[in-house]
Amino acid sequence: MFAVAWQGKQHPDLRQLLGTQFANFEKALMAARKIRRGHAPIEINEAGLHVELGGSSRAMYGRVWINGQLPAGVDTNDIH
Amino acid sequence: MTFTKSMQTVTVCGITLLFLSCTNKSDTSTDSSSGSCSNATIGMAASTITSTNTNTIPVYVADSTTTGQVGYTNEPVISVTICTPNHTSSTQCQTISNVLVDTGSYGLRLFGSAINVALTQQTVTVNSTSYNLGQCEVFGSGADWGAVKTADVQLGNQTATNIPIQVIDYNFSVMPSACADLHPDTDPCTAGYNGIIGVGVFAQDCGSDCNSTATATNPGNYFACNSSQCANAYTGACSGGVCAIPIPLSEQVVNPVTQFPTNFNNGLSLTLPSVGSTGASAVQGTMTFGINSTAGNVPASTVVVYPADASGMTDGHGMDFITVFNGTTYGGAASSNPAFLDSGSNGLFFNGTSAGLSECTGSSFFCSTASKSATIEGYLTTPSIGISFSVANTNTLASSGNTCFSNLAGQQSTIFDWGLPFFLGRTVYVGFDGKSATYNAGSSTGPYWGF
Repeated sequence: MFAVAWQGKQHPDLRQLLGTQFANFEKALMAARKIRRGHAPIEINEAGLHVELGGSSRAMYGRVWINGQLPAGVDTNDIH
Repeated sequence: MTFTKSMQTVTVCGITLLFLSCTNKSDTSTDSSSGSCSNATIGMAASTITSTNTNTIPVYVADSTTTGQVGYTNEPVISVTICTPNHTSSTQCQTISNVLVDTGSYGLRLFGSAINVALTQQTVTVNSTSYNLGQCEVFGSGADWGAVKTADVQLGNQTATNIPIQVIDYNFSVMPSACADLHPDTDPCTAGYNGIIGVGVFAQDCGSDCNSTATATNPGNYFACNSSQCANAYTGACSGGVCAIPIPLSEQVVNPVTQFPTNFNNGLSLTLPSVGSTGASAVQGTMTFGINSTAGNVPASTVVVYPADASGMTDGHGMDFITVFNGTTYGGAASSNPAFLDSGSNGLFFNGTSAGLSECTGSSFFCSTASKSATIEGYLTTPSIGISFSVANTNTLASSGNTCFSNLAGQQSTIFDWGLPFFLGRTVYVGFDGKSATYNAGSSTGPYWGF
């Protein structure tokens, strides 16, 4: 699985979803929260990892993909 | 990963410093605020900044020199008084400052380290055994872990008596791994607040889903805890043999304003002054309880109501309404990309790169200066209004030394989050679910937003 998007009442299990990328996600998440404060959404776009998390209570939103592993011709705007 | 550690540290800390958010107490040399920041509680004694009016309380988006606030840019805070439930003396009460005003969530959550009055631990009975009630409350990009206790909650002169709140405590019982994976708030100093008060359009933080025994329905964010573990499901006689733990509405953490007396519980309004293009060092506004129910809370005749999703707590859309920006529709029944008003977000977050804005190096805030517009609509597309807003170069804003900006914005590719900047220069009405108020155009029933 190279890209996942969701909108709903809960986030999926991010550790399971991200697999070996989870540790990298955790580091990027903590860095992002230092400037995206309060309940601001976050968007992480690093070599290797793209993560968006946001929403409000009972309305979680996110998109995840592994950069460099999208098949040729896939537009990220089509991941939804 | 090729994103180097050194690059990450330099870039992020530069912005962090300028935004008054280097809150690590060991890092005082880079923290330009003069307020106190310890892991137990932040800010000055709250008694100096409480309200004496009957149905209002001051809101600050402010710097440390005027209020003792030790937080971050575009952080609206109030002081909240909590008391032992059904208290009989003011000696059973304390006032806690620096509580984030969040229209994107529901319920009061305070760090246990900031609480010094006795509250009542809530319990839940599973298979004839009583457990302490715990909670992992998940937000869009974060979480809070801790116990559910009851308290009397006072805002200004209004009191919600004996209501459930969350006592944020990273070390409460044993945190489930799924909650730990979301990196819940650890302490006031790191979080930048002593707590959060969720005052959005709904009452309970979960609603009917959390009162279900079906694991497919119940999100399982309430837990039965003892000293060695917390569980959100058990083996029982329900369908499939595994039951979620049902928590009745009356026992869920609740938006305190919805529990105020009649005339003060049909909604609230937030009024914040406008600021100039380079921001302000400190602004003071007002939270007013009740809408058109008593003297002092009558909306202007120009206020228009934009309905939110009435089924938002059970359909996955939350407090959604519609925003159309740059040809894309966010929110509404047909969209999987939400749009909402959230005073607990410290900027405007939207897909600016699709509209010619560029991100600052190493940060997802914008380094472009631009004027933009969008259209806000009710959840079912009516009514609608055009909204103009400005985006400034984040580095320029940071160098101003100010702490409150109407034009701080960042990239978020697939949602439209109208954060704190939207609230500046406006009175925004938060109409509570199922409660009615009369506006110039007639009666409106929540959930809705008005401005």
